[in-house]
Amino acid sequence: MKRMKKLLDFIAAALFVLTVFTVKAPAQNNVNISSARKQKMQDSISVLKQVSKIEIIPLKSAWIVGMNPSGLVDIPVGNNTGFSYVESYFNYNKGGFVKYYESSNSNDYGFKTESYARVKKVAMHGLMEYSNFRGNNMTFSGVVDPERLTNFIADTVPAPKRQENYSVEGGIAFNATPWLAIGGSARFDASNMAKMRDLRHETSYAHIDVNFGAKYISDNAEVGASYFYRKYNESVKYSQVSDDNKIFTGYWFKGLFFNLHDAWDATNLYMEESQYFIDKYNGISGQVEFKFDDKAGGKWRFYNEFSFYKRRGQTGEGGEDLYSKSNGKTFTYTGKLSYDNGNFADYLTLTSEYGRIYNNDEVYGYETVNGLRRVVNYGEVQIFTKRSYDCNVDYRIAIGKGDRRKFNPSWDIDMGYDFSSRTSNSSFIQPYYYTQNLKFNDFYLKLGKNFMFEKGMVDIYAGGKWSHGWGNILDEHSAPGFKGTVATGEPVPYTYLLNREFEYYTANKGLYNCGLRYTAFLSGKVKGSLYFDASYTHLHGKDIVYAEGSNSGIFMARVGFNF
Amino acid sequence: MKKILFFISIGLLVLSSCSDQLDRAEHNPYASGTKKLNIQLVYPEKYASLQREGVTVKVINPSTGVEYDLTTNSNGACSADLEYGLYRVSVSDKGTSEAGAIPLFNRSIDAVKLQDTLSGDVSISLDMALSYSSQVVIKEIYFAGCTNPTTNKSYYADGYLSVYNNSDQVAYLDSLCFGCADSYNSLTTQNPWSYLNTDGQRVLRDTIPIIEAVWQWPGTGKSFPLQPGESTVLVFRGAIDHTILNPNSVDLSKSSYFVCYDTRYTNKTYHPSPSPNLAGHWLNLIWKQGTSNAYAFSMVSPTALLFKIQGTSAENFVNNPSNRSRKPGTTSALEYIMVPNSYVLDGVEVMSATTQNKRLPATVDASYVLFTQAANAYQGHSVYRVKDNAATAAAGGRVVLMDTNNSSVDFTISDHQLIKDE
Repeated sequence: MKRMKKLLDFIAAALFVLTVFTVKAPAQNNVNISSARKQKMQDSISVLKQVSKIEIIPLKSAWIVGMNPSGLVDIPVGNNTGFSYVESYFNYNKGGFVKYYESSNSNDYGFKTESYARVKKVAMHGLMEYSNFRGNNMTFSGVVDPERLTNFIADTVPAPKRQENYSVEGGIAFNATPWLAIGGSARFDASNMAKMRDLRHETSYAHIDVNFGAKYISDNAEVGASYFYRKYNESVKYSQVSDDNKIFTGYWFKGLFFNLHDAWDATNLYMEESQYFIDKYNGISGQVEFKFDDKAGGKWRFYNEFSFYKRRGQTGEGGEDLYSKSNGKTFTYTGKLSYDNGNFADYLTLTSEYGRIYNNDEVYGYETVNGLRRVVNYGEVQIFTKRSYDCNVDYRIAIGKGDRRKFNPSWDIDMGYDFSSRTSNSSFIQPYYYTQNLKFNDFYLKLGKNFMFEKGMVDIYAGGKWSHGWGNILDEHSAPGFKGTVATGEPVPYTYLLNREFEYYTANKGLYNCGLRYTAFLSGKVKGSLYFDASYTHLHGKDIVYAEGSNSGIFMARVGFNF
Repeated sequence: MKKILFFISIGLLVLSSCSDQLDRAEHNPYASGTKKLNIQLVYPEKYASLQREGVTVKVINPSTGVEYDLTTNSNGACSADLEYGLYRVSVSDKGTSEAGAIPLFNRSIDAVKLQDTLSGDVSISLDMALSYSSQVVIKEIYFAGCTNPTTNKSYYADGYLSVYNNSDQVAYLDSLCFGCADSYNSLTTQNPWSYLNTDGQRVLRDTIPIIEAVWQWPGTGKSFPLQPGESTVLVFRGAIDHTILNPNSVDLSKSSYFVCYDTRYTNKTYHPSPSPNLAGHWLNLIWKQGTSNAYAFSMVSPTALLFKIQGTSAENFVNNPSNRSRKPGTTSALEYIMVPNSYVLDGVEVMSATTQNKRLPATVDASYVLFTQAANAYQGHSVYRVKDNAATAAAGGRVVLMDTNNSSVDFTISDHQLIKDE
């Protein structure tokens, strides 16, 4: 009942936001526009809404998807106009070649609405989404995404999980002067996940992302600066309902799957209490774009974005005990060179990210002094560190001429190369430490063709991605100069998970996708279109040993309304 | 175009430097976050010659469970750079035989702090406490229950302890006492029976608080002999053949066994009438506190103590108010019998996690047996004393069990109840 109320509240709020974004602003400007011209404009907008795909809008300017929310002023949407859609979707996934914490048999459905709009000088973007996920055969993670964290808790009993997700996002930007744009945006995601069988857990996840920025605009260049703040707050609480005296083992993974493990409610794991995994990001970003217009009317744009953020995290029982602290720094660069002459548009994008993060365990104990129990902190010891580097080079070309092709290219071709490198260091037991070097890359190619008819259009698309990785799964080292021997032996990671994760990233993989989208134009008072999209994606891994299978497939279907 | 090339080259430089940074993750993570611990062993004056090279000092990090073995130099000292934390230091050493008795030297300190706020090294002196190995020792304790294969339910009415004559002379069990130290289970909270000594080290009292009950073997002095190398069993609760109900359990109805049975414990589920085979083998309940109707012996992390009251009868001892104490720091009226360490013949401490704190002093048990719940509960596992191969060979084949008053050395875990093998 409580969930239903949440859902109804969510839908009501979504409708409200849509109404705000799509309602026509009082058009004082229209006083000076002749009715014939107005009608022509309305027809043009009507056609545009029928044939346009909203996902093409961010492609038109790197500022729109950049870190600076003031870039929203660049949305290619005319005054008092907006593009919106509502859609519902259903995905079905089956196959054993998935990440260790993912389901081999799952489905999810959801509703989503998104809108871009401009009222006078103010550009806006809004998004709301609800999804409901059910996955079978899930284990090895109590948190939603263990790869985001430096440490997490888990159990080992496969069981069904359910997850509900809510997202809301809003952005606003306006031209304060002809040469200055200011903007802000915020996003909030919330999620509840529950495992349905012992050892069960309830996980609450919340994420907030707030951005502020401004940019200076001139004829030849634009320069911007922005600040962003993100916070992830996740809590996990394990519980046992059955009373059959069965002992379940809990795991606290602390990097490279080295772990504390014991009976799940053992005093050295504290898993019967809610455990919090909190991360805060503070970052700044600077952007500069150079603009050149050639004599043939082509527009050259070269966008550069440099970002830096600090990441601080902590793990523990909320407000009581702090188990570990993490801190990290990340540098990113995005460069996008684009050329658009109205007949075709090229986009060459380079993104690169370097990050490092340290996770230190808090060493503490309790003392009772004069009857009062107090926590004594002994210091911090490094338990895990990871350095990562990711790079992507992408080339996309969209071909299509005329107004009807403005946001709907006839051909859409995208290809690129990804490279990732991870170097991890786990220092779980002094004097041993273990390093892992993991590198993987992929090449991808996506093709889309649009066929336009009088009352509708058809899109056919297909793509493939071929991946390969290499590295050293685990190298052992010992701290030089350490006196003494370790009577309890070397630490041992959860080898199955270590192998499985390494295999997933290093195996030769092929991912193939094909799909069809049919769009029916709506006529009359309703300006817009209805669409139905179905696709199938298949992932195949070669020489798979540790995952449950070497294939997985996902069928996706969505139906929506553009307006 | 020049500008574009300039920015691309800047980007490539950034990428190149990032790539170099990746390799730095392989550096030694223990270069910081450690502090040097210096340990000096100090033997009683008479045994000062034992201050020598080659003695193993165990340094345990309770939060991770890791045990480090450090070896003393010729001055009887050792040191190591260890990560910040709270450490447990223990050492066990043996002297040469004196009139048939082997002197044992033990010391255990529970809370050695290596804290980031301390300046300089941390240095401690371990005053080695003298004790002797016992004639009668605890051979095995079975307390964690087993699972009934028919019903798949856990079964825990069948706990016992076996007692072994580890000497070459006849031992008599008459008037031997049995009890458990407070608390029933080992806890992560600070032991209320401990205090900080003048060196700032947390140490346990010289007396051990016995919780709930003190049991005593009957007999007139030579009624219950135990031959060298012979053992018997003390049943905690049900002295019956448990295998009738549960094939994974044990037969505790044998005539040579003893049982803790008294009508003041009225719970018939836990205390069924003992088998007639055990007539005359009921231990006397000489002291009981609280209103419990069943004797509680921890299924998770017990202590077990065999002790003999000196100078007076056990009844007189427990009835003397000066030998009782309330728990420090509480308002509870419950009392504990305080048994001097020197009265203890043998004692074993079991912990379910290394983060827990010690209940027995180093002269009784310098360490503990680690018995985790996940690996051992309801599986018929027990803790047992291992064989001392060197001493057995010296004794001409009579099995001598390891007895260093250090259960991490003396004991290990069995995957079944050992009395099944007899």
